[in-house]
Amino acid sequence: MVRTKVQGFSLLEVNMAMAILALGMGGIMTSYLAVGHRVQYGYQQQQAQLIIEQMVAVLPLYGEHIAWLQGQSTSTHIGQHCWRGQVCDQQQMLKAWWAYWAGYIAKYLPAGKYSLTCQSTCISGGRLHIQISWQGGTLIPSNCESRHCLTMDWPL
Amino acid sequence: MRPLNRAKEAFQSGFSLLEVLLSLALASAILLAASHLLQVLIQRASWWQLLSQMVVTRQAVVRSIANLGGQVCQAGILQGEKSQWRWHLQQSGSCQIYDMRLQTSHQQLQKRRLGGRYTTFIDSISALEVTYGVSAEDDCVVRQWLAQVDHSQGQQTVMLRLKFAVGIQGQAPEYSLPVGWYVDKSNGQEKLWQPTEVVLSLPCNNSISSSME
Repeated sequence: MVRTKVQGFSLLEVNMAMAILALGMGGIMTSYLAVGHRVQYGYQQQQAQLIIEQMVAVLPLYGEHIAWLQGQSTSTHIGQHCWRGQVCDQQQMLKAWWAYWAGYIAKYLPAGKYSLTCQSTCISGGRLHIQISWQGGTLIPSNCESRHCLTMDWPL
Repeated sequence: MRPLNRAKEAFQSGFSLLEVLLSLALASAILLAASHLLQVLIQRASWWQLLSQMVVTRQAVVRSIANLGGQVCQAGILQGEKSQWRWHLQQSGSCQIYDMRLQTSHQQLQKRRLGGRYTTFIDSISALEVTYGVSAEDDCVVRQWLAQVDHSQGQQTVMLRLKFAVGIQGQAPEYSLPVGWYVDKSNGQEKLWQPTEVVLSLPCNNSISSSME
């Protein structure tokens, strides 16, 4: 019995060593993946941020039509002629932007979508709330119904 | 008994040739798998480093352009083409005419005061395409997007839409690039480019627009 202990490890010792090794490796891999997810998240957040900035620049110009916009579909092929030099009225132009953003978000963010809501009213005095959300890695906590999101609201 | 014990000890303290060979084969397989895994992990990590670098560079470029937009001190622009335009910028306390252009060969966005020399403003930028949002009814709302504008249309320009690509030096990963990215291997260097789009609002003054009529 004594000889066995001296010459080798017991099964329990081996198992414990393996468990410690597995925990260590798991920790390293988790940190590694977390860094990757964090980088990916930063990249996606930047994409969303750029769109939000465009919205901030554009939407106030068409403030009186935002209520109208809410009832419209977000097909990505609408309003293409407005980008090609044709004169468009405010609603057409707003819809062209809306379709462009929808296309951009769908293309660059995984399962990306966006929403626009007005608190109380969509006219002067109300508040406009914009949210862009997308599906991201599980290692980064998300607070928009298990999706990552970027939100912004400002007074109309 | 003695020769038997000796034989037993020899058997217990060593390995057979087959065992040694099998162990070596297993160790090689483990080493091979580990080195492959390590290679993949390192490749991933260097890609993340590149991606972070792109995020930072792109942010810097976008911020620089936004800051430039903040310096515009007069409504409209004087003229505009695909990758160059002329406008008024606030510099050293006065509002002066500035030319902006993309220098394609050096992949730089440059600016110059009217009559002066071009100086580089932003590096690592290419494929610049500017479109001009023109207000057609003097209400500072874009109703038309034009690829180039003359002086009169320029006076009614209230927004610029700049499409360009931001570049960083680095090797593309073996797996696929993110959507929209592309690789350029010219000039003996490999560069990764990411398309970007920025909208610049210009100051708008209804009275200026009205006086043009």
